[in-house]
Amino acid sequence: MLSWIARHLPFLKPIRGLPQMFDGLLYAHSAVFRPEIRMSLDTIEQTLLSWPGVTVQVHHFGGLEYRWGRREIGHLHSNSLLDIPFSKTLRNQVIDAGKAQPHHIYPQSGWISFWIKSESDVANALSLLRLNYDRWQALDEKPHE
Amino acid sequence: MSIPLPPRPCPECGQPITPQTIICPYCGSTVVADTPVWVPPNVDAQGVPRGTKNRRWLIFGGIVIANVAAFLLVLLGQWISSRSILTVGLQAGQNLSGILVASDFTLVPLLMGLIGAFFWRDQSLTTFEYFLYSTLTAILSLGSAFYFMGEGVICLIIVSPLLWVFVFGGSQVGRWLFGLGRNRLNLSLVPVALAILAFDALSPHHYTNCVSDRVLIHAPPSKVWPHLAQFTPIREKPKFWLFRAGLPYPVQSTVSGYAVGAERRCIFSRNLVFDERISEWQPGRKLTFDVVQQPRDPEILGHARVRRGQFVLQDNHDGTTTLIGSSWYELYVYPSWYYDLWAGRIAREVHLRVMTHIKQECEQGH
Repeated sequence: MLSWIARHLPFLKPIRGLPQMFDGLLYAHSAVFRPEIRMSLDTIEQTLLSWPGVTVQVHHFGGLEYRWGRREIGHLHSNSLLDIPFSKTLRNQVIDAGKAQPHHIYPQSGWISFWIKSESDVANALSLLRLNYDRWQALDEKPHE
Repeated sequence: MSIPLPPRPCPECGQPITPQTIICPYCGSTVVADTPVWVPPNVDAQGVPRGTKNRRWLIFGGIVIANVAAFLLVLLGQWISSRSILTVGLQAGQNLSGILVASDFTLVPLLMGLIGAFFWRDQSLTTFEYFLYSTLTAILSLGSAFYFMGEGVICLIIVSPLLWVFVFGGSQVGRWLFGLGRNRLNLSLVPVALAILAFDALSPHHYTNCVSDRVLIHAPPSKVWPHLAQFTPIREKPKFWLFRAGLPYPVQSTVSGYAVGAERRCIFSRNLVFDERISEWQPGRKLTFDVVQQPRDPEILGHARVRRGQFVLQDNHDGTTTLIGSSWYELYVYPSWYYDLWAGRIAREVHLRVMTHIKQECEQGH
């Protein structure tokens, strides 16, 4: 549904607060009807916040955006869709390895999308996020406070 | 917090890689990630211990002040509505101050969420904690409505999804807005919200609807007609979940006569009575009655008013009759798109309970 709205109703995106409101509804839906997904989202959120230097903010298109300084590690929508910005090379490696799919809206970009469909996907989601976290750390850029 | 796992060698090249690595940065080979072990953190992202006294007060304060603000905003909306009667000179007898406008159930809960998020903004809450505290905020407002405003439990059940969704949605919008740190822009939302509330309160609100249902009865109209004006007590227990939860349901009807002007009493559970007057009497074809007075029950009072009911018989000329039951009602709570979903469903369940009983009586030859 989120992908459909993003594709067909792009004019809604810039309305202040609307994507965040919509994402809140997705979370509430998960909390009531898909508790295992809600628990997976919470596990990812709490695990990422325990990584040194990681900060969180609400993504401008809804969901939670995790950052290393000014760099985005990835953002997680409340319908359990994880989007991560990789380099093109790394993106191709990850997709070729079958670890993720091309981005749901921009398949040609360096972004990847990963659907968390069950609790067993949490480890893979965290691995993908860790890959980017390690990548940013490897650039030896200290987080900007 | 993750329990730190030691670095491990890449199975292909032997270089040290982190436990969560799935593609070796040295040789590019795909490796299986170790499953991270997670235990609940007792410190937040800034390393501040959770559960401090100040933190508890801020969370509690957010919940309470959001509710106080909501109460004041609803009162303000009611006051603006009642002022509009005096100054604008609306239709005589129309009591707008009794109407709960759409803003009371959408904008006000949204602002409640925003107020909560303002108090919780520095507490590094997780999404689930926002969800939990928003839910508590909504529960407190429902409890207050029950205790201070005498609202019925069923009404609160009906309003709770709308309230809960907007409070939590508002908290997420607030979480984003206050995370941006543009306080001047955020503050500009307050007069905008008040303007919307005032505009909504001042706008005329009038929503009526009619719901009709059909039942096929294996009996001619002449046999069905005697069962319409009054029917024997319905002994069957209700199946509709709101009726079982306590919403009054129809039990019996009686009439004082068989002509236009006669009084009809539709008796609901808990001995609640709808006083009606027959306004159309066409034997074998149509019975219409206007609701003169409806019971003063907290589940009904002030939220909706049933105006009229009607039974129409259609002769199918094959020994069967189609019984059409209709109800006209007016809503005093908005947004109508939400509350009419409930009102229409309840009216339908009332129809089906009565019409199914009439069908059974006719077909069993009572």
